[in-house]
Amino acid sequence: MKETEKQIQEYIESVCNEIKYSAVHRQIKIELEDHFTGLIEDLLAQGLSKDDAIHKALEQMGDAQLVGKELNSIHKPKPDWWLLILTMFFVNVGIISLYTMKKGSLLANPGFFVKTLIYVLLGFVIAIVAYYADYRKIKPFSKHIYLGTLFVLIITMSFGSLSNGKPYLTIGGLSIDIVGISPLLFMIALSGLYDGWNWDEMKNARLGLVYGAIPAVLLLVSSSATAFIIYLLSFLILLYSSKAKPAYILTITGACLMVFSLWILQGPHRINRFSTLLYLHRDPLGAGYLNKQLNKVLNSAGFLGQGLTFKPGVLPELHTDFIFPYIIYTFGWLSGIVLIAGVVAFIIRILHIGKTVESYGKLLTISFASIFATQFLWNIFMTLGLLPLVGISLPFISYGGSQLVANMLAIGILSSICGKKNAGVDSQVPDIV
Amino acid sequence: MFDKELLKGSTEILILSLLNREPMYGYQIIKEAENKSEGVFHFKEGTLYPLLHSLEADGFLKSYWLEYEGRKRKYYRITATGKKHMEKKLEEWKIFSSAVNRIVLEGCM
Repeated sequence: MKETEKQIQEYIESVCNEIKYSAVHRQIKIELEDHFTGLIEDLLAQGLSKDDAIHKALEQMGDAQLVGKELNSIHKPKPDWWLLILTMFFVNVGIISLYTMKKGSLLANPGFFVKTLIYVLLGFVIAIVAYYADYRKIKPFSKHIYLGTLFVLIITMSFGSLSNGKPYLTIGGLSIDIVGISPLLFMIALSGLYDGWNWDEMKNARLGLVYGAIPAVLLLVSSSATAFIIYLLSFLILLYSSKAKPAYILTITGACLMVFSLWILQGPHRINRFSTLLYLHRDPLGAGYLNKQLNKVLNSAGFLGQGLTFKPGVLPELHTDFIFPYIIYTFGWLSGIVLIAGVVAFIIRILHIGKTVESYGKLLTISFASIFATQFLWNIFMTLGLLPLVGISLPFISYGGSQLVANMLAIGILSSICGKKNAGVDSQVPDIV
Repeated sequence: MFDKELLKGSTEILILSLLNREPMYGYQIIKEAENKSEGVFHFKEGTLYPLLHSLEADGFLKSYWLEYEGRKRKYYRITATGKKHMEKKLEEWKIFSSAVNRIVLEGCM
């Protein structure tokens, strides 16, 4: 039988009509076509007439609408509810913390609270848009995202307005923390560029490393040490995941350390600038002052917290980098432990989404997991005195509109990856078998 | 009449244990089940494909495509989690069927 008959085609079409998620139509069509062709061949061999064979084959399959409805319920994009619940949890912890800070007059600007609410709403809108858009459509634009981020970053560094020593891009009265969100944007771009990258060919491998190194060098030269750390760690993990040779990973790590030392040694003002990021400038009583303060706060927190008794001036940057000790002090160690458990679950969840998706989706999940893990874990460890104090804040929880919106974009993309996986787009018919 | 859940559960075991022997495509599963049961089992085809798809969505099966006489054919193979699931279901089935046998066959002994 060369062609499937018209009746069969009509049947398959009415099955597909019931399936809302059109990306799976093609594979279902081909699978059912193959089924009917095989069955009708056998029925013909048994001596049935062509019409009878087709009739019997269709009858055995049953009501097209019923089959279609069943398939529709299976091939429905479903986001990962655990990921969304944990995100909501973090966002709400942030909102509640800012609210209590506002109540306790601990906010440098009381308007931060309302601003956060607006950014949360904006973030959700962006996440929903990203969820319904197909994440695979981002891939062809990876190079554009890379160059675009590079361009805007250079513009911001050259002409941006400074706030707390950090340059912001101001458009129409809105300050955007380009430096802060650039690691995430670069990682999205590199996930696309590195997907299927040929690391075996020397020239190609070198080009790949240059792509990765440029943002690192740029962030370092502009003394954005925080963004540099986040970018570098995430980038190395991505490099490892995209099957680059360990030698390259060591090379780039070594090169970065060398550039970093050169940059530090280049002048005393650099040391100063770097120490600014280490918060030593706010250190009236010498090195270790902030760690001592942190210890005091954490030691007096207790299991269930001290409520709204946090005193102003004990720690700087409560709403951003030191929101975690504030949470522990106010709501107790129990809350701190719950939050850490939430963070661990969140990272595991993201990696879990990436486990069974195609390579680009997988690299994206690894990128997001490493960016979030770096920020969450560094902030938690530095609070506990296990890592140097740098200006890394808690994603979703700390104040910072641009970062919140960018992080929600990542959640939207992750949900899109997860939705496609659940809808079964992964078993897409290959064009050439 | 079979209870719908029971029927679905037993069809699941059938599919998983058939695929545990070798990867197959949909129509092949139907033929195999019919042959092995000497014509007793005849899958309602309209339920087979949704079931295969949902077993794949659960991660118990993994599909792949091969070419046969110029057509693309979708094969299913069982995964490691699928095997575990099958063993669990098989255990449940044994308990259930032996219980049924004890009651039903009691009078005949």
